[in-house]
Amino acid sequence: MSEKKHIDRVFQEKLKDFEDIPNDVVWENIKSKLEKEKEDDKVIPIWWRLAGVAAVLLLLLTIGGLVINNKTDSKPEIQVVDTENNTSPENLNTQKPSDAIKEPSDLNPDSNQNETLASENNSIQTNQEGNITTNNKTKSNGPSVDKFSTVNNESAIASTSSSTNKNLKNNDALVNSKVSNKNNTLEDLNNSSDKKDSEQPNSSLAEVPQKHDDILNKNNTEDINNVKFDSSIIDDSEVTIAQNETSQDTNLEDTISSDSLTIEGEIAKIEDIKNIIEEEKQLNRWSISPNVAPVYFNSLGNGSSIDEQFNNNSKTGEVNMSYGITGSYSISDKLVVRAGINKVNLGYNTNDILLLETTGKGPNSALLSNITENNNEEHMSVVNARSVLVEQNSNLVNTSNVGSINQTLGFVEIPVELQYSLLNTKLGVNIIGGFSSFFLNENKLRSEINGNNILIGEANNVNSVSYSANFGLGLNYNFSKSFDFNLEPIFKYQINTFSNTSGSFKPYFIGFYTGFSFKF
Amino acid sequence: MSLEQLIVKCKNNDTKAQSELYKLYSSKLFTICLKYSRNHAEAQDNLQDAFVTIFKKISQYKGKGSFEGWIKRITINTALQRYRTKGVFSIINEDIPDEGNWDVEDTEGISIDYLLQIIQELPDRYRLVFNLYVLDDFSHKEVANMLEISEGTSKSNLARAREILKKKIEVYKDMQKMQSL
Repeated sequence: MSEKKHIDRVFQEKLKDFEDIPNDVVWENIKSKLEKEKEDDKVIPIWWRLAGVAAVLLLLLTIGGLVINNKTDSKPEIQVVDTENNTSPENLNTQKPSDAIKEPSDLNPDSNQNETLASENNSIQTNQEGNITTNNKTKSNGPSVDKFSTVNNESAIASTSSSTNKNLKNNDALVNSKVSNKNNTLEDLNNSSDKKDSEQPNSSLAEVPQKHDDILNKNNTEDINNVKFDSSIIDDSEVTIAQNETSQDTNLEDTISSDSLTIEGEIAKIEDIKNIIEEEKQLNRWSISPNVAPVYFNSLGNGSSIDEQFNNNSKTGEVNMSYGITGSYSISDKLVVRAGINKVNLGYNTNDILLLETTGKGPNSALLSNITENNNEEHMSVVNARSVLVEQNSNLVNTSNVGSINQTLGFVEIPVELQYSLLNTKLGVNIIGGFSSFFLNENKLRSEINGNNILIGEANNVNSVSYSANFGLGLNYNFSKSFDFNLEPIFKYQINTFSNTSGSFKPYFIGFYTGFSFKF
Repeated sequence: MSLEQLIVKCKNNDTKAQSELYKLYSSKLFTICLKYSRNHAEAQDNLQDAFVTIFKKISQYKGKGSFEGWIKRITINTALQRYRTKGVFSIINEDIPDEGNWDVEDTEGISIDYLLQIIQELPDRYRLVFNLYVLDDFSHKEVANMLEISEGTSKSNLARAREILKKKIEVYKDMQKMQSL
């Protein structure tokens, strides 16, 4: 006997107690996905804390830098600190164009012009030639600029412009046009780097909007109300339409006419593109890199940080260690901004010195102008062995007392740097530029004679806060998407480490920073 | 361990508890996935996504309403999400057919596997509407909301789904008769 049943009931009754067991693989996949999420969750809070610290430090440094800059405005060498300002993000734009102008200035037929300008402006020795050229440009273009009326580039300009050069005007056209061109390109570059979405996915989307429209049109004939695409696809497409509507039209028409695909095909394509975009979005922007570096400290020029008498003594740089941690953020796939904190010890030896021991403070005792001597009962005098040996009868001097003085300085270093990627493959090559702030936390002067190490005192001419300009090359090897090995030789030119040195003592150090980066 | 304890542990990301919870509900949820998906493989994908979402959002479950209802809803939404983003809702004819006669005779011999198979073979939206309305007791208004379609479309889709299923059941019975002869 056959019983009639509503089809709904048939399914309801039959499927009520139906159960099926999924494959074990499903649980494995879920587990691995959850573990990945857990790791992500763990890493982020640590970074946020570090980012907070870095942000506060940056703020303090910027304010500190400005305060110090204002205080020392009257001194000519403080122009140097402008360099530090220039490297701060707001001024990057203005500095880059001036760098770019260097070329036109080299083209200048009247080579005397730059020399004259340079010689008239000893106070701005550190300004680049390119800067001066910009300044000339500004001067001749604008009305009249009062001397020292403005703080930054213009102040330098104003002073350079005291001599008007006829050639300047002739060159203006050339320079201006080049400048404006370069500025434009620069702006473009900036714009493109500002967009967080890299250009690749957008350009690969170029075909989408048109196809998208195509689908919409087809659907219009049926029921437009039913067209419900993921809003994110539509958003993306709209953006792309705006960007590509002019350039891609012809290509698109070709593509469309040749594509007689089904709607499903098109949808699948859009889906694929969306996936690509999502992958791009998932780029690991943050990374954290502990690093360690042997650092070699020495000075350019003949001066001495200790005393004038040692200006011509030979000096040997010392290799010390620096270690720290750096956090970085990728602004685009080429440009990375990074900041960190490092402990660094620097030291060098001044050779050929003579240690004299005296029992009281004699007239020769305060020989070292930049050193506050240790308050020992047994007083030590350090003199230049050369001068003593020349001036006095060498028999009076026991040559076995000739040795070296070792100056050691320890700093906490806060580097803020930009890293630009030249090669972005498994083996990456970057150029690195930026500045560091140094906070003095160790300061010692020792004599080393015959293996005896005697503390003499500490330098009184070391600034508690100082800066350096950093340039370097970065090599990195990608072990995986989130794990890199880095090697970065970086040259750090120290700017106002010492408040008072004799001769041309220009300290610098080179560090070979090695470490691992963890991206997330 | 009670369900409440298990949920608390899952909220603390306890892997063991997560494994327990999975064992407890995987086959129930997998059945939902099988009904809402096109085939076995997609059902497994949906189940996987559903469980990841459940464990991620379990801290949002405050104990109001049944836990099983909550995870079932997540599973259904996961399946809907998959077919919603595929854009399939835009391609189906809208005409509302006349009220049909949906009675079928003598269904004792029809296997569950066959019924599941013909559900999976339905066009995506017919399948979703049929599942939501018939097997999971949502109203047409709710179905329309969930699928972002009109109520009329929901009704029409349901009628078409029934039509197709009825035909396939009749074909199946004819085949059985042929074989028994």
